[in-house]
Amino acid sequence: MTVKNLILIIILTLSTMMHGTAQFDLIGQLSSDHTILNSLNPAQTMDSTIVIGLPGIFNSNRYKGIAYGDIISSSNNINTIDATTALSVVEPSNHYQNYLDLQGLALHVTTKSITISAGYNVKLMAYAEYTDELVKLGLEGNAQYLDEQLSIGPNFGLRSYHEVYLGLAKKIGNISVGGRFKVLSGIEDLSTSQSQINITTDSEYYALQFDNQYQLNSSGVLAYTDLSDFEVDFDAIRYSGLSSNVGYGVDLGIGIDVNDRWNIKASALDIGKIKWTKRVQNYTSSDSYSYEGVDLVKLIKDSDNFELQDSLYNILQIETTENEYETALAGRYNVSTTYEIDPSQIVGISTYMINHDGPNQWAIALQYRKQLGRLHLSGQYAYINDNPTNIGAGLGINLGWLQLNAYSDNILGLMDMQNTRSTNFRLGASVHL
Amino acid sequence: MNNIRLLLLLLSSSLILWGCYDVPSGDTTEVVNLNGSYAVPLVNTTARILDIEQSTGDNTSILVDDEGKVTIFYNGNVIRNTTATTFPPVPGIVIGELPLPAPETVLSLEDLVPFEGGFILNKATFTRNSLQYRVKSAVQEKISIRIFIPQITKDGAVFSQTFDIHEDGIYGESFSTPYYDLEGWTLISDDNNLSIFYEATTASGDLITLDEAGLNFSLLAFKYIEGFFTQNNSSESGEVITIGVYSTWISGGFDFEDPKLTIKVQNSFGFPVRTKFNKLELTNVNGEKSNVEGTFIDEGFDFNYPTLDEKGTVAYSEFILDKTNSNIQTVFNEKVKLVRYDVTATGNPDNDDSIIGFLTDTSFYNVDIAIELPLETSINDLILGDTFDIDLSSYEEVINAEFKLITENKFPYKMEVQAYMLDANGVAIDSLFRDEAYQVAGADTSAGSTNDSPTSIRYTTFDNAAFAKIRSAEQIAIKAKFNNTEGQEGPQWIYEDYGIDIKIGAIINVQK
Repeated sequence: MTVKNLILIIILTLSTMMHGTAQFDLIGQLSSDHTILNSLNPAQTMDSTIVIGLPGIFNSNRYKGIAYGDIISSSNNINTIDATTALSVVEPSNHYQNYLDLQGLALHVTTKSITISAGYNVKLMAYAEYTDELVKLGLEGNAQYLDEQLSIGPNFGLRSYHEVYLGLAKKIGNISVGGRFKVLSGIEDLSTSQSQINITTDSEYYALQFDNQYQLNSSGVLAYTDLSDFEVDFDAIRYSGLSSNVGYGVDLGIGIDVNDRWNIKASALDIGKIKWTKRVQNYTSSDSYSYEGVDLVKLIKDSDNFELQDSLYNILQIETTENEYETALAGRYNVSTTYEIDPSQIVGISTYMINHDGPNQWAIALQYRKQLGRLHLSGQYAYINDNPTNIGAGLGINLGWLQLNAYSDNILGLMDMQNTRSTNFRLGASVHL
Repeated sequence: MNNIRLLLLLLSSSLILWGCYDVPSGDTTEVVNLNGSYAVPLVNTTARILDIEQSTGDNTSILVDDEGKVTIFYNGNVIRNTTATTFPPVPGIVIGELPLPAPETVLSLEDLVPFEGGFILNKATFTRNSLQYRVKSAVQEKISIRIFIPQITKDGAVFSQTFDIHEDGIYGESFSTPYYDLEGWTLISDDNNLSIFYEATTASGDLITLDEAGLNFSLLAFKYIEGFFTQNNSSESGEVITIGVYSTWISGGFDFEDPKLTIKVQNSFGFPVRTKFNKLELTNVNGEKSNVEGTFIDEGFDFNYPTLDEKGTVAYSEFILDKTNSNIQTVFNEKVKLVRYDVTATGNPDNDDSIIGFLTDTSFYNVDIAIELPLETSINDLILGDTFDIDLSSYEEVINAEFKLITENKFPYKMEVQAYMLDANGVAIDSLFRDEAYQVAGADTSAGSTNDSPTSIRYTTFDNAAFAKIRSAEQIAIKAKFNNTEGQEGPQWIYEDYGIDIKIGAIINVQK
């Protein structure tokens, strides 16, 4: 494997890693299903004594920079990557994020003004952040960047975990408060805790200077021998008990009924962390190193064979350890307000912020919901990070004992996920007794 | 009914949405429209004369004098002789029956101690050995026997043992005594003989003559021997010294001002030894052989040796064959690559019986032979070359490449370098420097070892067609031509800080 191919593989892996990530869930604030509202704000109480949340799915996806469909086309079982296109769309800072929430069963029991909740979820997330300098290095080469320092270290993570929670919501007058305590069990993780790799090519005779503070941690994912020999095996959804890689998290929420029509809500979700202890390995490259070419005298004395690739692989001096490490959950913060125009119409404003291992993200949406009999139709215009064109839509159906929901913050993006910069969708159902 | 229709609508909508997203799952992935230019360092070497020579063979050593002048030694196998070789311990010597009737037996030491050519032993100290007696008598009485050797003493006491036979009432059979330790006992003789006495007394007090008597040495070994040793020879032949300095010579003059053959001897034997070359033959790079001629070859040379007053010390000797006492300079500058020698070492070469010598159990002599090559040389259109394997076949996407060569020459010789790409049959496909050979000026060493070393930068480019041409090359042959720089004619010394710094980088353009 040449060094050039290694860089290309890194770029491609980042490009295709689970198609985006962004855990925005804006239009869900308008849902008529209280289980969805409760998942977004633990202060939400139920409208029935017993509510069972059925298995559902939530997935969000976001790119900034190179989208999958921008550079990859497929024909006759061959994936083709267009380097020219990649270079034209890459931005100074690029990221990919994807979040998948597989909701298992949940049980909500309400008595008087208290709702007690318990449930199980599996969550997966993937994210990556990298500079255009990494892409340019791989596709253009370093010859036009002599004596310039290129920052090429990608920051990324690939993670899955189980979540079991117990929650409590209570309405006191016009104020609702609630919280959930969550026990987490990590399934697998591969993530960076430090991501600095700087490379400078000297103009004298192209000696390479690396200045690294890079650490990649793995729990059961990466089998690494050297840069030319490694294997990534991410078994995302696997039940192996809840006693390994244990973590804890909390969700907190508050709601205020200003009056009969106007409601303000705020929540902080996924505040917590996981401690990875099982099958842990850390790969660290720190300090400054240089590659100045082969010492011919030493080569003649010691060996008859010279491979440039082998020499380059050896200069990064990756140290392997087996130290436990922690990863924080991607905290999500939401403030929303709704106003009931009449019993069949609601308008709202929702804001969202995600505190991620990548860059923080934020969004704001203007929302409207109309009830038509048993149907609830929602519409939304949202500005999500740098993307102003997000038209959301939702459909809820209330059959009394059964409620079904489907919605997305960017309905148009679902039609073209390979090229869209940001989208999500949720499918859910609940039984109300 | 309405609820069911709504449910079906929702499910079908979900399936349609999923169908819109189709993840390609190709078997292979390839990149197109790739136009990259990659700059990599290839070589960064500081090759000093010390490094170059040390890489040419395991028999090489370097000496740098106080002025930094370099001398190379090509070392030959050491000739080593020890007491164990000259006077090997003799196990289990059995001296047969002692002659009778007189209870005195005289043994010749020459029969006892093996030494080629003979000797007159004055003094010897035993080590690691012991002595056993064997006797027999037909007298059917208890017999008390005392055997003593007046010439073997220790701390003033004579070596004497007393024992009885027939105590058990068994008569007519041989009786063997236990082994009596001889460690540290010293034998002194002035006539090269060993006299052994016994007294055999019956129970009734009568002196008798034994029917049989003999003695066994478990091992005959000496810690110290002193005496006269007659002339004796040992030979070492067929040794070879490989000279690496011409291993890459192709043509041209490369003469050494003062090559030498040095012989260094360490000797702790206490008698003279003379070494003579039966053959000293030099073979050049063309396979032609020549013999070295000179005084030492004709007459041989004597080692120094410690005197009796210098027991336990080592005497050093050094002999040099150089241009003043031999034809070695003339012969060596015919591009010698092998030196083959055949020597004989002769102890007491003049057989002088007035020389009383000695040896101990740790005595030895070492003879180190080396070709000493002071690096004071004359160069005239010298061409050196070597060939290395290369493999460019995996660089299929490379469309052209530019190599940048930076050289700092600290030798007082101007250089011309060219490299040829050879195919599988050894035929040149192309050369690295197409227009002309890469020329590097020599360093100015007129101030001695300090020098002004010029730096040369050269670019060479292989375009698409040229790179395609050399992609099939399997070897690269490098030739370098050297000449003295202007104003520095005649032999020049090479100093330890002489060398050459080479840096090579490449910009490789890839297209796909």
